[in-house]
Amino acid sequence: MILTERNFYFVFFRKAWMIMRITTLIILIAALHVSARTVAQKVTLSADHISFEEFFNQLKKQTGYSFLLKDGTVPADQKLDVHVTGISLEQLLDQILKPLSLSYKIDNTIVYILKENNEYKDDPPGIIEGKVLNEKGQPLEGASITVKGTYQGAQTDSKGYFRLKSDLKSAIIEVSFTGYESKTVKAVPGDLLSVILKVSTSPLDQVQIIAYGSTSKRLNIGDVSTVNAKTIAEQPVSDPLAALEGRVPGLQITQQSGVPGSAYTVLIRGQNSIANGNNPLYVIDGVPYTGNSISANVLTASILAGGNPLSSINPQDIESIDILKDADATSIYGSRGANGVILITTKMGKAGKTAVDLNVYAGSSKVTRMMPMLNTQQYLEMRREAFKNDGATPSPYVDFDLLSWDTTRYTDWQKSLFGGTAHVLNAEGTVSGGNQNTQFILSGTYNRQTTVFPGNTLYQKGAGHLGLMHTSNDQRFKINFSTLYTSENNLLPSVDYSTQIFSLPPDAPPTYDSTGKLNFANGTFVNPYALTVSTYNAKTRNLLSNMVMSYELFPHFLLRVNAGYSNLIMDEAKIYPLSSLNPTYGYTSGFTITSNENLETWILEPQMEYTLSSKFGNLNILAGGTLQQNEFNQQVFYATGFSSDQLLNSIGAASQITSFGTTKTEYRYEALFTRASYNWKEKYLLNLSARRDGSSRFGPGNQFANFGSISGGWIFSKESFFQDKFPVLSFGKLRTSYGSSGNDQIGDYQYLDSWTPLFYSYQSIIGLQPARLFNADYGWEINKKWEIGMELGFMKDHIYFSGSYYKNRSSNQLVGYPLPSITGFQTVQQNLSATVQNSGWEFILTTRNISSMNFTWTTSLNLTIPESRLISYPNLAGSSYANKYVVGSSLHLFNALQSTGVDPQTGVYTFTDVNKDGTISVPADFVPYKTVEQQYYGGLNNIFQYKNFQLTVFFQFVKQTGTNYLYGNYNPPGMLGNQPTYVLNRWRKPGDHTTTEKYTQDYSSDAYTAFVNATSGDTQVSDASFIRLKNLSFSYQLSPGTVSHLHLQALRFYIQGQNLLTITNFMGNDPENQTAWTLPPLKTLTAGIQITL
Amino acid sequence: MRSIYMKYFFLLMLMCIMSGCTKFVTLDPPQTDLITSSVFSSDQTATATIIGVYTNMMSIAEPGFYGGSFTLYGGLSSDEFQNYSFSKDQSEFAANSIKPTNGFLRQLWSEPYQYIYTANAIIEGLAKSHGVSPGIKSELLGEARFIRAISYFYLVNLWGDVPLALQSAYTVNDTLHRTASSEIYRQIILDLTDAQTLLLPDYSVGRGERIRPNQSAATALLARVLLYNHDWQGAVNQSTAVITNSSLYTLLPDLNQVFLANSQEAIWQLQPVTPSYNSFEGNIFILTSGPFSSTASITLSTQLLNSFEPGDLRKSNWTNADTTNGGEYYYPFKYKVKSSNTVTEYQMVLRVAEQYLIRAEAEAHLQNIPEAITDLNIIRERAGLPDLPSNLTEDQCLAAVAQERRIELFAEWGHRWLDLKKTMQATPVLAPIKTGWQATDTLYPIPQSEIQNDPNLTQNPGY
Repeated sequence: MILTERNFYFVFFRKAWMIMRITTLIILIAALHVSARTVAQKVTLSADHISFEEFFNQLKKQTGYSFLLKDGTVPADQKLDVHVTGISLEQLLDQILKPLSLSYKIDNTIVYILKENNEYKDDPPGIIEGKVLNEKGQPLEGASITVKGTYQGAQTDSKGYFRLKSDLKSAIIEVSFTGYESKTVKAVPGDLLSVILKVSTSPLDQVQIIAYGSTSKRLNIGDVSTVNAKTIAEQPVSDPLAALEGRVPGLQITQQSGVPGSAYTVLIRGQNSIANGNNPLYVIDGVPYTGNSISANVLTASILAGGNPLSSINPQDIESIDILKDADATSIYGSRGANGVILITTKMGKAGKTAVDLNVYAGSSKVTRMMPMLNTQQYLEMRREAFKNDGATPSPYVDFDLLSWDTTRYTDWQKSLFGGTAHVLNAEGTVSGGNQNTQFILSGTYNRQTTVFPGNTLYQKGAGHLGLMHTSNDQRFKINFSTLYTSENNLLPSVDYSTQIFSLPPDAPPTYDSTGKLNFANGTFVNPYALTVSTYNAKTRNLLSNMVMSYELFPHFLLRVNAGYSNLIMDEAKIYPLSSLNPTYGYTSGFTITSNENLETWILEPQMEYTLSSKFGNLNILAGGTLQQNEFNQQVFYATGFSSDQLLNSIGAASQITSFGTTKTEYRYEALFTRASYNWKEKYLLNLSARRDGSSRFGPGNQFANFGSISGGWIFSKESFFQDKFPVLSFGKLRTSYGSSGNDQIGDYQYLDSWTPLFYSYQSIIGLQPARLFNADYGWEINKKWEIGMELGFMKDHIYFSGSYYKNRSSNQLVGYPLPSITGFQTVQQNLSATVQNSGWEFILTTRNISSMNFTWTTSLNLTIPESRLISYPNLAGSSYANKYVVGSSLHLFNALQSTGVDPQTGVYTFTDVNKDGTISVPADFVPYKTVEQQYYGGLNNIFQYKNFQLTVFFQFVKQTGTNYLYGNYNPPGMLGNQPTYVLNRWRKPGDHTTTEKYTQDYSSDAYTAFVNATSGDTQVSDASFIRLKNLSFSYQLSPGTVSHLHLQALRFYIQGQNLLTITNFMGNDPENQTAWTLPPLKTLTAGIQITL
Repeated sequence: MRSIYMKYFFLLMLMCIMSGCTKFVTLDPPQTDLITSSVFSSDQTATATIIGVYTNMMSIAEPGFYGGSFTLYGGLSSDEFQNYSFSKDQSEFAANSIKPTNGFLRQLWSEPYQYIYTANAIIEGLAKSHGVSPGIKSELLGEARFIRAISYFYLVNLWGDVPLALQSAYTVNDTLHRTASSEIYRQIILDLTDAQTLLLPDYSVGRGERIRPNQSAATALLARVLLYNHDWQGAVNQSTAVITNSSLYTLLPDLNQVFLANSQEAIWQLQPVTPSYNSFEGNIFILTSGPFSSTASITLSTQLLNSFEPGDLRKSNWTNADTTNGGEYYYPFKYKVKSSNTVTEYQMVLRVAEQYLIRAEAEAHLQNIPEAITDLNIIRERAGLPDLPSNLTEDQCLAAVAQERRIELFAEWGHRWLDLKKTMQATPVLAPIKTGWQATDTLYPIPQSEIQNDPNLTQNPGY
């Protein structure tokens, strides 16, 4: 039956009413605790005037048995006087129940209280009822019950109770529940069943977090990848994003810098938006979290490559990170889901004995890779050869490296500036536990890292996490509360020293003079150690709190409210003492730039959820709304006129304080959303979702938009045909989804025609300047996603394969459209009629190769083959992107002059003269044929377990082209400033065939002109593929026998390494961040110990 | 929690979302900004828009276009300065080998266009406004026209034909073609003529300070523009109007007082706005320990130093040498303050001495040699130099004007670079001293990003 809207409502109301009636009849005294041991069934009870409810409760406490009975079975107002000592449970029950004409039946640990005259006599024939419990005796809510061979089915309520009609004399019913092994039982109408399900070990039955809920991997139609706590814990990283690299197909994460707290680029399934706003949506325990740095750009642009707010989340507090990719998974996030969603779920305590866990590791880090640079001898040879080539002689005005410095000196500046060893220490303590109703977790983590730079630089992070979960006795009310608090203190140099290596000749003077002062060699030497005195300090406090309350108003109907709050506060200061400033600039005081930022977010999401089970299948309907507000404040000050460098930290000691700007922005967002999930016999799956969004980032009239998705799945392995013909196939699913999502990742108020005040006053008046070029008419960017996927499990899921193909099209692109500056500005916010397509293949293969008692070996491989293409762009030629993109080609096109090598006669770079006008001109001679992109990427993980030893080896591989050391290098070989040894293969005399042109030091030489052309040339792009031993983890867990002697629950020793080995031909530092001006990522090796008390 | 509360709470929330819809996501403008209609609804806020232009002129990316860059790069392009900088961008200017990707080049180009945009936006905003009093409206319109004119003056002199934007709409401006420089000049003259009628003759808007352009500023700039356009009589008339306004302007006898704040020689000055600076030029040019890594990294060239006549007071008062490291590095010393929290010097933009030189040059072209020599001698007398002979030919007289301009206006607003081009002397003078000099170097290249973002822009020849 197809559910049309009309009969859908009909079914909804009829069933709801029926279920309400039934449940009021039933009281279930829930089994709250059942011991695994056989309980002594002797009871002792002495009480006067107690109700039956109290009576059964007392018995439950003593025996661990649960008591199940219908409302009205026992007289509600009857009071009992019981005085027994050490009699059996049966005896007592006989004694109490007989007089009331009641009987009982004990099945496992459940005692059914029955009316002797068969209480089901009045009911129509064919009612099967019962309850579904887990092995600990806890009721399972939402388990589905189907009668084999019929369309009949039901779902359990919050007490694990179900009831269904069956026309059969004897039915076989199948009970299944997410994360548990399904069970088949025989039932006869009138039975009161008790079904206990075992936790499943199949990866397909793991709980899968999805938007606003959870399901299992088996039943999920959407494309969601999960990185769990165990994988995160194996990696000695302080930033959760670092733990995701290479792990997830379709997720491209690039570390921009090796400095702690620095930026990552995160792309889920490629770059959808031409210009900006390609961040995924981050949701931490239901609260949206910013992916953009809030820090003042003037302060962090260099040292943190922009900064990264996710570093404020402690990886140890994370239970799972789920990456939502396709329309099914992301459309319900509407306007924010276009670039995918990353859901971070924090850890929660488990019922049971209170556990205390202590985990400490320490280790050290160094940069992954440095490129070889010229030594003094090679350098001087280069400089002298340049003068010879130019027919010039060194000038006393500028060529100090040849004429005034000590040319016998040699400094390896890379080693000196970022060749140090950073030390890492991480300590974590967790207390968790609880009972069936209430669970908690409380943890604290301290992380400390030094840097590879000279000077006293340090990153420290303290994090606290509290998680509380409570369920009322009747299971109807639930509350889940979590709070994360992180305090970071990042003390870094003001500038990344890596920026210096091209400007520092190897024969530069000593950094300190004989008196121990910084040596500027009469102003001829830009001393990089001056930077060790100037510092950047950021203190970040991050509070993230979330509460989910739900109440089961009537069976299968839940009301839920998700309320979240987050507050990110940052205090930054860049301090330039007078002693660090070049004396020729004439400063009379040091100066300080301070900035404080405050980002406050609250979100409120009322929801209702209704679950319906019938012979037509299971239907789950979710509806809700979102109200969200972000408020951002920032104030930047410049302070100078300090009487001493000692006072630079105290802005009050400055005689002059200037405001460098105040920012106050507000963002508001609201939405209504709904999702219907339909599942027929766990064989056919259908999801529909819709959302209506409003965002304050759009001007009046453009604020609202609708988004939606449709998706379907077919678990064909459930078809008897497949079960019979391909018994080796344990699981097979086909799924597809199509839908839309949007993107509002643009600045606030871009539609507003306004003027903004300046920092300084003129004629004692604070002036105004136009805030932006305003465009009142831009609207939503639309991203349409389509995906088809297949998942296969073989040999009881020992081999699991998942393959998917996706095609996402992003249109009505929202961009900061680049403008010529004759318009007064560089960009304007507008929609482009361009359509960008990202498509690709993603594969996962997981195999349990060996699975024996003492040895297991599991392999997991993921591979992504992405493709990006500009599908259409009307009037591209007339736009400012005319020289950047080509319709039909990749979005990552590198438009450049086509290099034709070094002319063997003249020794200068030559290029293809495309327009044949006799000169090489930019951009007229550009050729768009190279791309800077990843061709494929993935990861290979092997986990070996032998007795108490475990070894994990994870390789990340990326096949890509990248920008090499030439990119952004505007200093030709021969000028003052060092070069990599790649330039040694240069032209010297006619007839030489080389890769580097002749050395030059003359700004008016042909070689210089050719070099400047080369900075727009395609030689800047070369292979940047790499294979990296991303993670190595080795651990030894003491056997339970040994640890119990030590009065411990567990004791584990481990060694972990990150980025240990990189295999690449890349011409530059590290192929990941691909820039010679930023610190490469670090490799880290740590050792640790974990104790559970 | 009781279900009834939960239910009402929930319904309340849902109603809130459904009913409040548009209201919730419709925001007030941020507290930090003013929307345009309210900006032009009062005298005070409307005035702040023009103040914003001057503030930017004195604070954008030290040193900004008006804050010394034109002096620096004009001086490097011509023969005024010796370059000591490691900077590739600056070295390209010194070598007359500027690449279209040069970062300073883009700054030089985009900054005047930023002021042109603002001036256009102010003109449009005032046209629609109702709350601004007529006097203020006239004043602000005049200043906006003046700003637009002076911005185009430098654009057309550096790049030749440039796009002419006369309104703020980016939808029109982003695809502009280059306009013939004669058209640009026509617009400049129109703007300045209008500004003359709109602006007040005195300095009352600046409360006595010479920091807002007045009628004389428009007249002085117009005199220069007419001179550049060979309207000799017009140039004579306009410069005379300034020179004869002796109640406001005099040539100060003491050379060391010329560049002080609100000096009697100033027609228009910019007030310093950033902490610890007086003029940018004082800060970047004055050397304390050699030129190698000072901000501007330049000294005065030997060509310039050698062109001073013996006994010229301008050499002793307006140049100075730094000898701290055993060298002898001469630097411009018109501004005496390198850095100080007390402001005594303002950035000079237009001053009376130039008006004498404009008139002398125009008179020479009109064959009025004695009048020309009289004006030249006024300048020379102040510099302690003897009078010129009165029997000069027109060519000799023009050569004398050129020499006097070179010395009087050195290290000021790139006058030397503009003069060499205006008098067609760039190639004869620069080719012998600049390796790789080409005639096409007289125009700077259009920045590459501009050509990339405006498909209708073409590059200057030679790039």
